[in-house]
Amino acid sequence: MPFSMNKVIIIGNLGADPEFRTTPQGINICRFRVATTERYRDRNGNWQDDTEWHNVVAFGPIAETASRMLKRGSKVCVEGRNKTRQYEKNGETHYITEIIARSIVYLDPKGERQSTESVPIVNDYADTTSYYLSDIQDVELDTSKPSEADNLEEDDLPF
Amino acid sequence: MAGRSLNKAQLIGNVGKDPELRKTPQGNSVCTLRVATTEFYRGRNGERKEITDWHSVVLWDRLAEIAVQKIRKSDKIYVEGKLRTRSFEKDGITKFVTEIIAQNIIILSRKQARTESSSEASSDDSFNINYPSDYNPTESSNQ
Repeated sequence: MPFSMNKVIIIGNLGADPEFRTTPQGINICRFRVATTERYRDRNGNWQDDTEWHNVVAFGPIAETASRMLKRGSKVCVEGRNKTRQYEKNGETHYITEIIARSIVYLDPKGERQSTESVPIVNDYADTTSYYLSDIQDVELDTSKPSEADNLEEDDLPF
Repeated sequence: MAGRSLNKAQLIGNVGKDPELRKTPQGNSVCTLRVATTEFYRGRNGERKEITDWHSVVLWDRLAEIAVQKIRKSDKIYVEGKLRTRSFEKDGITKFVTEIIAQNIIILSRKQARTESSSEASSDDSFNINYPSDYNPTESSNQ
């Protein structure tokens, strides 16, 4: 296969604070869920909101920054690749699709950021290729609670 | 009010099998393409590795009807669309599946010449359809 592309880009808001952890191998992982909302008219001409929830995973340096910069409600732009993996739960095979972040743009106005650091981070585009594409795939991901955020109600959202 | 947001996915990859047209109870045409993308990278020791990801791409209505005529297994296509996760019940267990709802497709290259196609099958290997931005078939998507 000479060439291919796998690119996802979303802009939306976090439904909950990001989860950050470091694997025993020393790799930083940050996970969070992002809601995107699209507005359209239904057949009767009424406006409807169509909200999608996306699972985002960041590895390495951007995981660290993301966990520092983001909190529930933060607006963010994530660019990355779409990845589906499978896991077992109660003997059943489940699939989960996640966006593996390659770059993250933090869209909250400066004053509202959780972080008080004066780092002028606009686009966190560290050299993450090795994380984003590679051996990290072999790392055991925490699949014990993959869908806890699925219980989120829209009412929980601060926006 | 959620304000502005964006939900976009773009793929270039190969089609895993011939598309099949289905009809929803409401009469909408729909077909699902399985698309493989492969990316290469260097492992820790500099060795060349590859990762293949499989994606489910859902095409609605006119897009599905054209795709069924023009796309075959192993064709390389460009797909642009949005991500959508839906849930379904199987044996009493709720499962989730994330798909790309196609908005625009371009055929980039074909694996083999079509023999069965009619004369209108074309000199031009590319087609694309742009739905209007408010096009939203998901409300009828109970497959």
